Amino acid sequence: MKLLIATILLFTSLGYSTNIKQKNSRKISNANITANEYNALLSGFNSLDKSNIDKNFKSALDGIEKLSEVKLLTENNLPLVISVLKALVLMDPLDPSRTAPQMLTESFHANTSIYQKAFKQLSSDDQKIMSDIIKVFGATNKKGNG
Amino acid sequence: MKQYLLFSILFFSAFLQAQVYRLDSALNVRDDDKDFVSEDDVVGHVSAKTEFEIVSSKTLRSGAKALEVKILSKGKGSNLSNDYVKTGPIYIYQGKNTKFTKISNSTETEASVAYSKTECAECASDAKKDMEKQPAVAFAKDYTQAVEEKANTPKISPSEASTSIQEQIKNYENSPQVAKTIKLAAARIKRLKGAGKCYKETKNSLVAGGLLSSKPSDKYARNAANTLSGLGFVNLLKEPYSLNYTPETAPKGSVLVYESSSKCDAYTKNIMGLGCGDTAIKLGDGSDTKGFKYASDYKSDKAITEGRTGSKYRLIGVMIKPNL
Repeated sequence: MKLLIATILLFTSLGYSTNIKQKNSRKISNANITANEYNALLSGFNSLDKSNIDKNFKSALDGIEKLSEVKLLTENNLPLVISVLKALVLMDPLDPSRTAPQMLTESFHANTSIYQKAFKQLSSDDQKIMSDIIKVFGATNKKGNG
Repeated sequence: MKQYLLFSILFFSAFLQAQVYRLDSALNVRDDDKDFVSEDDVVGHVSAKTEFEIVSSKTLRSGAKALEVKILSKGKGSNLSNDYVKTGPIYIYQGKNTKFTKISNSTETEASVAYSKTECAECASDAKKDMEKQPAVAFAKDYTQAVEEKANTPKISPSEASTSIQEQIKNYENSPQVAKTIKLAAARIKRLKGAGKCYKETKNSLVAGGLLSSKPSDKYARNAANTLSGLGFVNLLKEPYSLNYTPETAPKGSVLVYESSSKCDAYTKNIMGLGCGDTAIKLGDGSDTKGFKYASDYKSDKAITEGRTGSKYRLIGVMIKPNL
């Protein structure tokens, strides 16, 4: 009897271990964007300000779309996430439909802790705008837009 | 003697002068009066406002009538060949729901009165009358007539459908439900920026205005065209209408449905790339709504396709509810 229980426990732990390994493997494979892509996105977002957002709106939107394809971000990507949130704030007056934030809904929910850390790095004025934008993430994620 | 002859000719001419009628709805035209169910002898159709004379009338077994007619002028959208009009004979069906308008000033004719009563009064024997009263016989006749009515209602071409839908669009725009929907949406929606709830708020506005009895439970705006189609709406961009609307030209009160190419939610991992889409109600030209022309979960004077992210959206539905 003891042998049977021990065997069951052994197989259960082996299965759990395999599952963890698979999860880690997927996380690692999805975690990083290439260094070139990362640098290109970061420098693109960092170059945005109020004076040039109108001109660079489309490229900023393309950058956000690119970021939305990165499923899992690592702690190393924090500077990029901060620059994205700043970009969303700059784009907001030109994006009444809030399409840009909607594009990041999935990324936000897959990487909430990084977005929260980035949020804290924003100025208080930007945080006010960003708070309203974050509601879009929440509404869209839970119930679609219906 | 000559005077008598002349008087007789004038009398009979006046008596025989054919009445002119106008069709109130489209009807199939046949080159035979034997069968008014199959499509074998249908040679075309004539549209509403077609003017004609009745050459002869024959009562069918169903109680309806086969009318041999002479077409005087065809209504817009008729597809009956002029060869048939000139050579004849051609027949149309007069059933319970077939409506003609008499347009010449003369004595009332059989086409403008209830045919079954007249027919019974003039022609049928008492025995036949008794039989007619039997429920089973009456039902069978009604059923046969319903089949005939359907067989003699032409399949409307897209151009005719378009003419008909234009009237329905006007009725929709001027309906109290649309007026209420627009008034409430313009008053209720305060935001000037999206909140990720466009479809939810569109549904709320439609329910508030009486265009929907309750909110559909689906989640994504991109599916609104299908959902609303199942709730009495029609999509003017799709067949049989295939109208060429843009958000700017869309009818007042119509529901605009967009698909989007940008991803938007965490629950569509298996169908990435579809996006949530967008919906909005067309408030009108803005003259009655403080310049706002569109309302979803925010109000705007510009359609989403006109904005900086407009390239991500494509209009796939201009939905109205016909027969209002």
